[in-house]
Amino acid sequence: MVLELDYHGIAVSTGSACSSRTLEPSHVLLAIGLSHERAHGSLRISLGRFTKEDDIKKTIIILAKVVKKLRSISPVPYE
Amino acid sequence: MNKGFYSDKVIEHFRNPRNFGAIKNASAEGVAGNIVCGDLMSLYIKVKKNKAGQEYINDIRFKTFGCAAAIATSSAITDLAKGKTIREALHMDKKDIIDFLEGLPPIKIHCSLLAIDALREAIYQYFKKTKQTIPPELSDVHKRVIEGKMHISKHHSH
Repeated sequence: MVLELDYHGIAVSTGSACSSRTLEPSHVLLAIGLSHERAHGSLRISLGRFTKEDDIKKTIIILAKVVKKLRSISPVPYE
Repeated sequence: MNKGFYSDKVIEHFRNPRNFGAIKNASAEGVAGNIVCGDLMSLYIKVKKNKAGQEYINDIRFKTFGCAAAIATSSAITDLAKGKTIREALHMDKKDIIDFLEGLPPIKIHCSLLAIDALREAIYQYFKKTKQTIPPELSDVHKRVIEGKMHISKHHSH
């Protein structure tokens, strides 16, 4: 997701910078009861002072497309 | 931002993966990896006989949940294995995938092994289904793949 979004000019991360060197999902997301596939599929999106409403709208549209594409490749069933 | 981390070839295979989706009436399916570790790969193979009477991979497709490298190595192995005889396919190893993709970051090398395991597991399942003798090294791969799945149930129980 990060790579695809990056391609579209949207910079996000998969977690905090301090844990970006590991491939482990967030222990917080697991602790609140998310499944492993959801925890591994989490994104962290931050807003900055220069973020405009249009940027958010654009991100929502592109993110939905990216998720749809990756789900079409995945063997995991989605509800 | 990711420039330099992945080779252009990895990015290309991730963005335009070859041969994804399932095969209807596949000869066999090999599943490797697990959701807990974040990579799950399913390889479907359709085996036919060539003119020399050797069994070969007529079609191969994948479904993968995982990072960009896992999707790129899945795509790469389908490109590499398609058309190969079973014997040739069994000789492939992770280096073939890494070379084909013009390198993988050290932290992603395991993705190439996952693809090889999924292919060997598919061939194991094919041999089992067609009641052929299973070479010991294939049984070892199968054992490793099953142990990977046990790892899931252990994790999910706490």
